[in-house]
Amino acid sequence: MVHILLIDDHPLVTDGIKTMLATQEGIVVSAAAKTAKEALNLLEQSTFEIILLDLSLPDMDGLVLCSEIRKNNQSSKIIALTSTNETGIITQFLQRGGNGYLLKNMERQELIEAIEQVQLGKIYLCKGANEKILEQYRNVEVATQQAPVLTRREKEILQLLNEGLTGPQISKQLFLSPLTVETHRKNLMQKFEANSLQMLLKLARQQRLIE
Amino acid sequence: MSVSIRIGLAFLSTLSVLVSAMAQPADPLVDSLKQALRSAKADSNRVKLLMDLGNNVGYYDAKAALDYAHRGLGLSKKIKYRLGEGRTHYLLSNTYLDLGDYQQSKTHLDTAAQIFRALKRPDMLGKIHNARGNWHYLQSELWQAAREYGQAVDLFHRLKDTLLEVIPYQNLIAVLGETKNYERAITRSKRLLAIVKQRGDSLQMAYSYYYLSNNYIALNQLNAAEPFVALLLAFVQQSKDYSLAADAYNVIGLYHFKRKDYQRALGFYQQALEKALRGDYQSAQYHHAIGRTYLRLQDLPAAGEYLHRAEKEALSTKAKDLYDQICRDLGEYYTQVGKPALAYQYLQKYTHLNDSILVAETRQYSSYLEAAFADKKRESEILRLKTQQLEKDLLLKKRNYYLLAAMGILALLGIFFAFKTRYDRNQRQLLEQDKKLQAERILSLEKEQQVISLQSMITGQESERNRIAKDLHDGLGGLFSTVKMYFSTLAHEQPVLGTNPLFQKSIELTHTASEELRRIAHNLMPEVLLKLGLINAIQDLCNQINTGRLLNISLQAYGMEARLNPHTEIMLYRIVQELLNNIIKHAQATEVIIQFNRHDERLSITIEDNGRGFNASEDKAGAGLSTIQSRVNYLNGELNIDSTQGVGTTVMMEFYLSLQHGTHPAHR
Repeated sequence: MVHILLIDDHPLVTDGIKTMLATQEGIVVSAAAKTAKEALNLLEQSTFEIILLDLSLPDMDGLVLCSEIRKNNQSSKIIALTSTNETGIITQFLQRGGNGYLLKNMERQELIEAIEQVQLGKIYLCKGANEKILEQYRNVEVATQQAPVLTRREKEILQLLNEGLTGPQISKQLFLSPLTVETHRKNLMQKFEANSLQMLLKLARQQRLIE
Repeated sequence: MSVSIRIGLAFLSTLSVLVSAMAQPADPLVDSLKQALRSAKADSNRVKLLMDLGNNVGYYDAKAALDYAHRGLGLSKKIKYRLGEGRTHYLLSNTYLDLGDYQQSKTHLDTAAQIFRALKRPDMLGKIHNARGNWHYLQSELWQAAREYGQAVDLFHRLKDTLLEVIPYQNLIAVLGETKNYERAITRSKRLLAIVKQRGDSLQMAYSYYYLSNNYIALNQLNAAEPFVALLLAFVQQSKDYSLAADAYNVIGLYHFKRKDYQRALGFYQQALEKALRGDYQSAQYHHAIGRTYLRLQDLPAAGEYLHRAEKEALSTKAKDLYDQICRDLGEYYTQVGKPALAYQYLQKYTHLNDSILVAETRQYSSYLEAAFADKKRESEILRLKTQQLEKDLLLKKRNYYLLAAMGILALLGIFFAFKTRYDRNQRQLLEQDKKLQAERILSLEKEQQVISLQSMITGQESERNRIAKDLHDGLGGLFSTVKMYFSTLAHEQPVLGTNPLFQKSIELTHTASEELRRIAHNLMPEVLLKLGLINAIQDLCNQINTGRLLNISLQAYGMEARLNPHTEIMLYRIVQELLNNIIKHAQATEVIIQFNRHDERLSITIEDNGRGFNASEDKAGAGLSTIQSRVNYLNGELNIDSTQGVGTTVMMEFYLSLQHGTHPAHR
């Protein structure tokens, strides 16, 4: 028998999930909590195979609660139950030891499949969450590029620095305030992780951004 | 609730009549003006005559008004009569606005403003502000409208011109009504009514009756509205002023509409339409009102005809709010004639238009207005400090004389006075330092004032958004999900039911509804922003846009590991969002770089596109940049826009993260 702890502050949602699982053999919602505090208390008293966790609770953020639970409990499988579908939150949840991610407008079949999958030790993401994650990886090519991407202004300033001009000279030539030039210079150093002008120019040369 | 959309505009042209020809019936006046024109020489008087003619025929023949104005403009240019040139541009802009040609209207307005500025005519500049207000108002940009009206009020107030001050003040009341601040609009209208009553100005009194009727009706306090409706009716029945008449009959019609006396409502609405058509005004709202009444009277063919006409007009003049309401009524119309598919289309348009953003804009405006009124006190403080500074300047000058004198005596008396001089110089330096301090204080107070008014506007808006998003998620979101859970359980328990197409459709629709709800809530306030911070939220935003494949955005963040104050994060997120929106809408770019660099307390954000670019100094006011500018101001930041046509645009912002805006300890 799979025992479920259901954590959600919305009474109707709780009822809906209980209804969905009522006719499913081998699965039982054996306790429900409305707050993080209640949930932590229940977890001290008994063990559950599955925890269905609403990510927005009145007294604690769901992500934080997930980490809290994982401090003393490595065995229960945690499935997030949420109405938001945002990449950052999905990955954070998984990093904090979550096993599954379900949107609340799921169907019965999906809930049952999620429970079965995480029971087998797999990670389960609902369709919407899957798409979100894929969306992120489509952009990964840009995100992990080796050489920093430079703005037009930065390229100009890098060029002039390479020609040996000083900050004030550059600001005159480009009609910028000296402070702005300074900011660009600092930004460049930060991007190349350089701690001196010489190092900056050397790195930029290596990346063939300047001659 | 449809509040007049032309009323504000009517005011200024009305006023020029008031000034030039109080209480004269319009047509004989035009005749006599034409008479005078025939004999007038080509001098500035002729320009004035042409303008008077333009002003007066403008009520019923906008084309003729344009003609007079253009003639006046040509003549002014020929005889180098700058003031006439400015005024004719101003007249042209008003007339084009009447005709719904916003582009032309703006061009003339800008030129007029330039001329009046050069001529140092604050009174005319006040009118320009008011006209700019009208320009925004007609396009439902209420916040901008209010700002312009506010500036006009300020200018006239400083000129001590109460006659002119009444106008933008009335317009502000109109905005209050439009933003659903009915109670406040009523209080202010009553106050204004007392003032104009004292002056015995019957036209302005009528306008006050108009606003009072309108706002009481909006509050559904029909009994309170009744006396004002009666007074207004009495006035328009014997007045020749079309501009007020159209709006007045419209609101009287609305009164009867609300009393469910549709037959009478129809009569008044038709009178309103007739006046509007004679005045050559945008008539969408009148057609809409009539169509709506026919709908209630179950005269469907007539309802359809009027509503469609209104739809077309509202579309062509870009009257967003009105179009929104027309869609709603067209939805009802098509339901009644039995075409559910079309009805659904219109209703969907209506809901889309009515989306959160409109609501947010409205609310944003009202809190801004509140702040603007509360600020007066601070302004006087600044003034006081400024006078103090003047006194100090004076003192300093005196000191300089002393110094000279002392030097004269020094030549005679030597060492003893050398000591005295040094003492004086020290004193002087002290004073100068003091003066500098004072100047800084004034600056910071001025800045602070700006910040306070923006603060109440922005925090109000954001907390409102947050609240609505939360309500949507927790309340409605939960309900939809539960309904779907029940449905799918039902489908499992009653397999026969699961194959029923109606049942499947119900499930599908519930699903769509909950998806739609999630989308709206996300746009209002992305959860990831609150939970995981700025960079994550912006990455999410970029992913979304990149998936559309229209634009490739690369995000780079340096030194952004620690989270900022949540409030600052929301502000910065909105700025980036707005800038990206602008790029998508206007720039035709394919590549965008977003870059965050943080060095301790300094944060610089660069957003660069490879789009078509624009003229930064000219377009700064438009293109949504003004809201960005105010948000940047609010964070005490600096905005730098660098745009080259054909190359792209670089927006660079720099912020100094003070303790208040700065790092927020990561609490997870």
